[in-house]
Amino acid sequence: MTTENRNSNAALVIGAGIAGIKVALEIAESGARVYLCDRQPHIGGTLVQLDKWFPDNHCGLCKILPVFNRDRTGQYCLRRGLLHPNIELLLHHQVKKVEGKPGRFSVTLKPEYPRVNPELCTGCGICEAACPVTDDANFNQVPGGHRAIFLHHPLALPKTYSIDAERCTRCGACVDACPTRAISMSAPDEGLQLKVGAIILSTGFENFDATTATQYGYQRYPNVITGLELERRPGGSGPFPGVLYRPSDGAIPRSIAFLQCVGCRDRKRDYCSSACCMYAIKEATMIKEMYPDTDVNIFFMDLRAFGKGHHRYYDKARDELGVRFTRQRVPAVKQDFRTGDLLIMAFDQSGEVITSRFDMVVLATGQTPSREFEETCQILGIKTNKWGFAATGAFSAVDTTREGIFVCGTASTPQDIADTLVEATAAAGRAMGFLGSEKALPVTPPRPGEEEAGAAVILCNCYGQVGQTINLREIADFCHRAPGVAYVEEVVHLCHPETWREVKARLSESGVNKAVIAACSLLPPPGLYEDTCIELINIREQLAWVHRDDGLKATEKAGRLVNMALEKIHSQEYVPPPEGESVVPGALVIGGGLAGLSAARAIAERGFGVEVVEKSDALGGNAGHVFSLLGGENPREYLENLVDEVKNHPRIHLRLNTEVVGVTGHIGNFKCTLKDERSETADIEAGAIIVATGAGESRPSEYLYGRAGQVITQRELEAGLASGRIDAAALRSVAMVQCVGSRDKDRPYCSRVCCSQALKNALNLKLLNPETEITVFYRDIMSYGFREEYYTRAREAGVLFVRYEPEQKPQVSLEDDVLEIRATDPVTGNVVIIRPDRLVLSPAIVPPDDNTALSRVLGIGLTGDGFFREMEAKFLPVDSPRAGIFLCGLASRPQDIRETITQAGAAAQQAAALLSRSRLTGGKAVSLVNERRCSGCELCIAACPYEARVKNVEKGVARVIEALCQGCGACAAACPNGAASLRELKDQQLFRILDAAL
Amino acid sequence: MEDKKEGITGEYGETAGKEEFEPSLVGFFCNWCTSTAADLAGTTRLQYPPNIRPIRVMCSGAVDPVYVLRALCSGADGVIIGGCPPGDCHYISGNYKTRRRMAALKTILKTLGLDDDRVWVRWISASEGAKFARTMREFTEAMRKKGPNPLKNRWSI
Repeated sequence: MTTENRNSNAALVIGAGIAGIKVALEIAESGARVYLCDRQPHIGGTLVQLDKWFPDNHCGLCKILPVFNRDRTGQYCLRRGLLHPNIELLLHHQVKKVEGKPGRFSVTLKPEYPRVNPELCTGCGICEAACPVTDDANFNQVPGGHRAIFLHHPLALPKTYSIDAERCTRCGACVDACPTRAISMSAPDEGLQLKVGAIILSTGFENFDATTATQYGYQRYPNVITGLELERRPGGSGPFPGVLYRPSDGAIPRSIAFLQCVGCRDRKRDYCSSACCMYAIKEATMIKEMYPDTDVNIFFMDLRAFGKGHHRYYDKARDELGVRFTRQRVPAVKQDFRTGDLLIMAFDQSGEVITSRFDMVVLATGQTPSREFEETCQILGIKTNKWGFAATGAFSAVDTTREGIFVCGTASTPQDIADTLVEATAAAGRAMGFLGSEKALPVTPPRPGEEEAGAAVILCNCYGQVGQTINLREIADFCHRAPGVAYVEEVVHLCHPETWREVKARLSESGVNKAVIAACSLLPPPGLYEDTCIELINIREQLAWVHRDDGLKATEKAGRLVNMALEKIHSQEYVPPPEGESVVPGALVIGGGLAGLSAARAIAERGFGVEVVEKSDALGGNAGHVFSLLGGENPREYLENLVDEVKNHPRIHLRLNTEVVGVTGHIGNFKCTLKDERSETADIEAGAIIVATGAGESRPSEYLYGRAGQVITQRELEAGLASGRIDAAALRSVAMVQCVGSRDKDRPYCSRVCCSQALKNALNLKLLNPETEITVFYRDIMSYGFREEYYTRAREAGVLFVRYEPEQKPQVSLEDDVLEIRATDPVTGNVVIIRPDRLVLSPAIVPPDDNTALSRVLGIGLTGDGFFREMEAKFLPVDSPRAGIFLCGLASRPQDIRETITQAGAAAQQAAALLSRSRLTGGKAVSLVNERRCSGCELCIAACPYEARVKNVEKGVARVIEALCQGCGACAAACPNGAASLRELKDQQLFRILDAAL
Repeated sequence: MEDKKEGITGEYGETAGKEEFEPSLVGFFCNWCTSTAADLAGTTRLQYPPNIRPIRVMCSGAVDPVYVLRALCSGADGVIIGGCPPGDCHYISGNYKTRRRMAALKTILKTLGLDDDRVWVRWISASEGAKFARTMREFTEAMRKKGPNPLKNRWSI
């Protein structure tokens, strides 16, 4: 057993999918160390198999990368890998034992065998050619092609081959073939022991095994595929990029059926997977974009488009792209054996059985816990819920049953990426509390300018992978002759740790501070870029491997590329790293509701001062109107405790009856003007701002609300039942109407919480008086995740659910004080008439009117629905478009109490990570202003997407806020005078590169 | 317009000798999407002609039209700009900016009687290794057909 002496100011993250990556980055950027382990030999989990995401059909994975101190971290697409000085990847490892207490866990990990050592593997692929075993299952989800040793995912970093232990015959052919001796077959009896302060579980989900749903004929009928297969087949890195072929005959499908809820919402798995409706719509949209004439029909039960922007996406698919939606759970799929077409038998509206024919059927499979999840939970000593996901609390989505161990993402509940990222950030924030004192990431000290010592050229042969196409000798000779080259070094295996050390040692000994590294896409370890001017060129993936047939020309090209790189670094002026901008170590929280208070407490616990501003004279906001949660828990006690803690916290300062009327400055240094009820103003400084201004309940204008005493809202019913003003025993019949003022033309969004609220109140009523007849008129019941169980319970308790179409809303009339509701059941066409004692409405959650004014003050926009807009809906769900301002709670979107607490935790974590920095620095590659050339035309200010350029009014020229500049170069391209330029790529430099290229 | 192009090609075609003309091409590829796709093309061992000289820029929006003109005037037979697909830009809107700039540049080239089809703008996302290789093949082939750039060594800026 090797015991590594590692400090406990570190966290262990189990599972390196998107949730794990986000947790790791958040903790690493807060100054602690992270061990990121995964059973798989690569990072990215399920996510890397997908190309695009709803609700905007874009990829934005790279947007979660750190924006500060960028030179320390890998600035590359996350599909290639993750590089951070505080993150250590332990891939292909399994957790075997966890001992100790929170803050001082001792964890034993074991590498999986047979094993390819990621430190040694160069990804050359010789082993795969040597392997005699073929394998069916693979990344692309189509049969065929893979050996028992294979590259699971062609973009992954580390580009490490992996062995399928089940199929491997242990013949040893690959072991002998491997030039770097990276493969070992048997497991030496040793593990790795780590001391960590906190553990975060982010192991994700597994797709439901569709072969067990035999009625759909998956794997018996070739044209029945799963949603994931549909993603992979036409995917950019898939087997048939850009085209969708029918598996049986390669024809372009003219009709495709999606079957929803496969493996979910049934007796065995009585939960909803939350994301499948949306991914089916996304896939349908992508098919429609490829083949507008293909008929796409989604067979669903309830269409759960409850997330931010999701309902608009659904409307667009249905109304603009012509995706058909059929409300039906399909009982079975049959195949026409002559054509391979698939037959779906279904009832039509009149009750007739009709058979529809489809070219392909896509099963939208649900999320299930991974096979090994239960074992992992046992090792960690945490409990699972009855469906096998990690059990969490009623008020925390990230705390497990064991202190110091947290969970996020689909390991605890099925959910989509945006929700996963919010949870991951919140989990990181909770874990930071167990990691001891935080240390700000060190800022690279400015290095004095040095004498020109020439440049080093390092050429890697990669065990002949490069040399077999390119004549490296010739390149080296050319480099020796080139001016300004101090030395040329040829190595065979640059990414080997030993070689790295030697190369780095020689670099620093020779005093060379410029180097051209010609190697491959495996990234060098971090820390090298900081004080050396490095130009990387990829002569393996972008040369040797793609120009195999033409060694002569490839060599010539390699020579030119080296020359171009030399020109670039020779013309690179040494600029000391930016000093960065100071950070005010305090936050401003706008809003004293549940979200604001939770965020304030979390930030204060991390040691920073917090100023809480509340417009009204009371704390608690909407949460004060909630008397119980769906599971029966009492939120009032939680809220009271929270209010008490906030009131008594030494680092939190409360200001009631106060509004924010002005915000100037930028991230790290906001200057905010507050105005209280006596119109007195106060100026405060804050490093970060959290917007938690909440939302309200709309006042229904329909269904006789306000005109008949019997018509009340869900909130009024809940308060009435809690206070006893409404006597359940006296209620003979109650009707409820959902989506009052939601999901229509004026408010095309789902208010997300009302279905759960109706279920909760209906179950409470039934509990108090089982005789009460309850009828719920609904459009789609949004009981996503484990809320589904309560929908089932309500039906079992006798609550009647009657669906209505938006065009045919229930009609309410009042005659002689008797309320009558008439509705047409869309399935049977029968008219349902009910005369209830009470009609309970579920009104929409609406953003307050003063959001518009506040959004102007803050300089951040609103969505079309009036909620605050985030930087990026999917990948930055907590960041506002203005850096340093974070969103949480109902201000950002409708959500329930637990989700609000989670998002507040996430916002607090992001703010605390920001405040923990002593100075804010961007990267070396930021833009510059040549003031002599600047005419003050402000074109660059308009071009900058980050508001990093401002006008220096005194001088009449542009100025760069380096902390905000991301180094994209948009300003340099926009500047008509050549006054704006990038530090790392000036115009003259580029011209020299071009001259070398041609 | 078409005739003129052919005339110029013919004139230079003779001096290029009987061997097939090999165009010199410059590619500006964004760091996030297209450069990753270029790596992926290599990992999957897709083959394309070596005529392209890639220059990695952080964002396609950093490509000043002047760079393209300079490349064409210094003898590039074609310039291709590869960026993230619309909406995917790491820097929010860089690809939209380059789309507008290059559209303007192409109009100017046409107005001057030059061949605007020597400048290509393509969106290649990180997972589209196959598309990268295919685009490089198509671009090289198209520029080979066009023959040498008549601007080559005639002007300098």
